[in-house]
Amino acid sequence: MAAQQQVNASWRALRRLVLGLILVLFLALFVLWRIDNPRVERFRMAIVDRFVPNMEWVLAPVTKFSRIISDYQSYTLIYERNQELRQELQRMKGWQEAALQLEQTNAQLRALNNVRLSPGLRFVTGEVITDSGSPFSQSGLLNVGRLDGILDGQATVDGLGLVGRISGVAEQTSRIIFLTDASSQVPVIIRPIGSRAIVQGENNIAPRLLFIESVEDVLPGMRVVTSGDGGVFPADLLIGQVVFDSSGKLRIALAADFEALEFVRILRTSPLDQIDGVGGLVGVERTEIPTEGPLE
Amino acid sequence: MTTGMRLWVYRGLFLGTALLSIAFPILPLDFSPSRMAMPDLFLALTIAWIVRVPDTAPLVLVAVLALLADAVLMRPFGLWALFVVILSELARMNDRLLRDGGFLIELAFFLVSLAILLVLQNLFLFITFAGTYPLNELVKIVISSLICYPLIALFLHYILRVRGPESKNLPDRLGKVG
Repeated sequence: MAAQQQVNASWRALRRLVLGLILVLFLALFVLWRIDNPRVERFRMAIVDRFVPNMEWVLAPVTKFSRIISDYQSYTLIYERNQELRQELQRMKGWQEAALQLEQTNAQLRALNNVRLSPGLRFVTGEVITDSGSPFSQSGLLNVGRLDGILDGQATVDGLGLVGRISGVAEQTSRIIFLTDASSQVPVIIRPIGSRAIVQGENNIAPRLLFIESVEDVLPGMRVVTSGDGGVFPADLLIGQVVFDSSGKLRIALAADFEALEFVRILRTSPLDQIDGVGGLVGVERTEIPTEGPLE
Repeated sequence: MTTGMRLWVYRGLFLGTALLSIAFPILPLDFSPSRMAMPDLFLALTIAWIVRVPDTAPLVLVAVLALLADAVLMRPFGLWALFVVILSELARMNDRLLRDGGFLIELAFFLVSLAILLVLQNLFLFITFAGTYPLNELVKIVISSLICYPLIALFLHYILRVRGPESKNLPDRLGKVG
């Protein structure tokens, strides 16, 4: 009985010690996260890299099941959808004709000018495997990572428009911060008036348009594309259209389809070569200057 | 011997459901920002579990899972895990009180401490110059937790059959004599 009590007491003391250690460790981790953020974020990505792909066998059936349900719901709308699509197709045929003609003209003009297109723009296609799961941040996890040549800051697009940028890369996974995230700011140009602005995410479906040059000229429906300022995104990626919200603020209706995001393209832009300094003298460079010898 | 087996079975069950509760919010269903905030399912599950069967959700397991949840759900690293461990220990210390006080007491304990911890978290983030969370989101989390905690309790009671020790043979009045 006494021995049992002693064991219990020492067990309780050990437990208290472990609890104290855990609390100190977690607090230290948080402080470290504040002090040396990149290192801890790399650690976090390593954990995610190990854990999330293993969870896929849990994620997959639930995801498939709920997609089947939402697909089934869409059957009820299928007739209306069909009519709409038919009308849209009619309009698209007109555009297709226009695009073909433009392409031909473009090709002719290129041939005339001997234009060289940027060879640096290549892409990797990845699948979005998870949501962020948090109300405070809008991000997703991709199934491609450093092994596929993904780097921090690369632009991500779906079929139509910009989705976000890569932030956090592990060996086989990487994280996209969506345009809707509160920490996402993208320099843009509003077409066709050409005024510059910033698209600022606000954790809701329609990001704000801020710091606009010549606000009075901006009309709803104008297209918004990346400007390429700051060197993070390549220029001229479509983001969406300008809309006014109910309180008269300018927002963006995003072109990318955030409700059915499955495959995205990560644009592997190689950084442009920097031109540093002015050019040197033209001609054969003299490597040795004779210092010995008689001066005349 | 069977009680030992039972202990390990329940620990495995806790591990499995906890992993599910961490994985559920990150299902790739809809990437547009939603109006309703996702409650912290893992915290709710852990507290409900500890109030019912404290032995089968050991401290170290709770701590490891909380850190994993922090990593996967992109939260400030370590801070919410710290709070989860503290709250789980509080629940463990008062488990009999919470169990015998009825479900409303348990629910109130969970919601009040969740609200306090959310405010504390913002305070910590503010002190360390990290970005704080907007207040209306925090209120939304408390509301959605209010809805999901009873559901989790029902799930534990009827589907997983995680129940506290039977209390029917306790005297219902103090000082009752034969």
